[in-house]
Amino acid sequence: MTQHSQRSGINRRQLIKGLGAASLLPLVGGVTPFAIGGQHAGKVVVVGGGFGGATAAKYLKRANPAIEVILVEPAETFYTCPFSNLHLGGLRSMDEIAHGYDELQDRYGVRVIHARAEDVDAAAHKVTLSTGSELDYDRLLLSPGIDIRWNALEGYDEAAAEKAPHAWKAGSQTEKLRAQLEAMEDGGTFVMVAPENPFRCPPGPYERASLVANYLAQYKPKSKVLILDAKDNFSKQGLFMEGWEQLYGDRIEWVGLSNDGRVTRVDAERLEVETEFGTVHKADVLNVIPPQKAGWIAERAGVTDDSGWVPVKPETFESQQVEDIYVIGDATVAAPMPKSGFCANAQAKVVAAAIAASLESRPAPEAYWTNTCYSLVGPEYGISVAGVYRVVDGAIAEVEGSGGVSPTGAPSATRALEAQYAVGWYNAICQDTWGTQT
Amino acid sequence: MKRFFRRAAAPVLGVLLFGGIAAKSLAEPSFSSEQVDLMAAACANCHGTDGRLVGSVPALAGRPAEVLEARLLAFKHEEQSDTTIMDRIAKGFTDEELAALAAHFAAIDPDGDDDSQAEQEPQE
Amino acid sequence: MHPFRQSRHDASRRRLLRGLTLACAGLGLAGLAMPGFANEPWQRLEAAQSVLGESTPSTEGLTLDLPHVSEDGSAVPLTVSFDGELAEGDYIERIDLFANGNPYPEVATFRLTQLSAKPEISTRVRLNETQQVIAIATSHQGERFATSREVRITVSGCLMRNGNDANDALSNPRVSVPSGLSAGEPAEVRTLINHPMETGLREGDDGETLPRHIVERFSVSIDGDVVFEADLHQAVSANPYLRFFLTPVESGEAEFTWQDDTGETARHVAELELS
Repeated sequence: MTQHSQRSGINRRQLIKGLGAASLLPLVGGVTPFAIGGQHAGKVVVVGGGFGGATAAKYLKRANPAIEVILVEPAETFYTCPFSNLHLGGLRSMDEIAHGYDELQDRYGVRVIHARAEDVDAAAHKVTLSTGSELDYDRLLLSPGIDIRWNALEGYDEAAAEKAPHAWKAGSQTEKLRAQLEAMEDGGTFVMVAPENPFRCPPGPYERASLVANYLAQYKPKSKVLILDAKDNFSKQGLFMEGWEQLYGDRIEWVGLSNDGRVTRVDAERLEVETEFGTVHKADVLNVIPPQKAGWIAERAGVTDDSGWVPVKPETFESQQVEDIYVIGDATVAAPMPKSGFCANAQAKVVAAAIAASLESRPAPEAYWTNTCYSLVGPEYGISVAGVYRVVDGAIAEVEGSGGVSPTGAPSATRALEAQYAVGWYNAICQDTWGTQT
Repeated sequence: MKRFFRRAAAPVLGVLLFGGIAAKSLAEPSFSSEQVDLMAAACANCHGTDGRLVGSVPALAGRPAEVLEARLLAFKHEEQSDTTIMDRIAKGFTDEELAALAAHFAAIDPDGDDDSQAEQEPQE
Repeated sequence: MHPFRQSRHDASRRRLLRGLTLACAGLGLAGLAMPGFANEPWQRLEAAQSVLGESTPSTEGLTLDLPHVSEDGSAVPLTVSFDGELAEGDYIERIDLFANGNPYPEVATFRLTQLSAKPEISTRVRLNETQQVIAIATSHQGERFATSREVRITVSGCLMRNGNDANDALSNPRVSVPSGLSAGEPAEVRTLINHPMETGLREGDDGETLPRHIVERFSVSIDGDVVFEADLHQAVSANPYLRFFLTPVESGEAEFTWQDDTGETARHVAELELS
């Protein structure tokens, strides 16, 4: 891939933009004057350095370099959930899904703090970090992703996740699950427990099953994949099933909710799961994708509702419950937009424009979102779902006539092309988010 | 009909013209540059920031506006045989929005390394 | 709660007293929470009104648990439960469910007895569009309770194909009953059966409307006596799932029966063993 040279600092156009912003200054209402050099343009704290937070930090700086942007993210290296299934399938190393924060700091002037946000005092406009220090903010953007609801599934607590990894937050969990797959004897069964809606990345479990099947077909051909699903319908179901039959024969078995697929109890020590109607399944490698909720800092900040997720105003992604706090990404209730890294990135741009406008006391531009999600059924077999969204009658809606999934029955050349685009898509979005590619 | 309105409107526009506001044709919708920026921002997910990324997905920056617009409209009206996903996306936009997007990317210098929407003076 | 509920006055006197209390509330003289008149979803739905008759239901005690937003309207999980106060000896005898935005608003009617005395029922329902789901509970002595909950749907539920089209109607009945039951203690029972629950609103591949074909009735008997029954309508999702509670007083044999609108039935038997 072509690497563009990077020049840091603010350029002439950005200076002009800064001046322009100052000339739009309203004459009433307690707004402090702007100054070039970032003194009073506003201070935004962004919590979470994933697809949502990192993109928002960058686009806030693009909107107005004078805004002070602080990004709080515990990890120095961010491993993407998208394409982590390729690591599980033995097709990518962890380095090839790793991204850092140098570009955000060096090129865009985002101040990155590697710590955890532990508390939010919304009234005082302060965030407390795990280091003990406090950050004040004019606007707070939370992009905290998901957290696992421990013990929502009987027997699945943090200790259980060490034996039966979820790998639904990429990093050590991904490596753990991969190691288990590598160690599994030929003839074993990889059992995956798939959750009910809503959860992060609707097609994710099924891509994972696909790429594990691909690995098993090559290296452990007597082994099988069993999916126990708490749902009867899943994303791109027709396409996955068509692809599974074409590529893997009967290697993947899917048991839906109405065929007693819902797991109600996990025994991580024995790698056993029990379903609703008493069927017990024994796994050789057990991957439990458990019930989820918004990243816990959202609850601390008071932006979650009784569902455990965050309701937001569709036009701006401002919290419906707390002023001056915005939330994007998997943590939000943004249906029909799915919980995907791509949506988080798209929402980040809308929220950056909304926050920049809010800091200048002017209305936010109209929101547009596009989502494209690729899934690899095999290394050369890609399928996709697309969506274009607007706000219609006060709610997010798909634009009629747009979006949809890849066609069923398409020739292998089309599947191969989509698989190539999937890689192009991954490179582009990572470049757009962190400025890095692999 | 259009010409009649333009002539009638001219004196009115003359009165309205101050503070450097450029007069647009009354018949066409116009988007502020901030609005187009946001509209175009989602394209970065596959085409890279500012449409500059070269890879399996084609770059957009600096390509002629007429070419981009023609492609987008062809995607929208399913006249493009090699499409896998762009048809589904292009159908989410009006023809005017697609034209604005084409103009937006055409104005971006593909070799520029700053993060503005145009390397030169703003071409609103 | 309502101060008159504790005593054993006859129904008509209670209604009179309630009417007076409502009148006082209207004059601002009582401090009780009253339903907003003509503003509640069940007041605007004829099917619900026909169950309520002349009575004004209490809004305390009956709860509907549903997601705020469902992207898939074809199988929305629902739990209705009652934990309000009833007079001694009274129990919830009937629960009706409605969906006020569906082509046909009736969803299901459940009939309970003293051997299914914990009034909590879960199922999965089809919701055509964003709307209110309404529940009305009726006690043995005639008390009525109502509640509603809005669900936002982003894909229409009635027209989606389900994932398990291949299963035969009324196949694979499944029942889970806990072991080690105690007399009078609620035992959670789950049931499932494969059935397309064809709504009669869907077109097949040939463009013809597929005829309605649904499970209409579900009943549970213990040693021959009916203890729990359900009337189901096409708003109950394919492969009907029902979770409810039995409160058996002695060990016995429980028989579960599903009957669909062609007259076909399926049966399943489970032992209830009390310790």
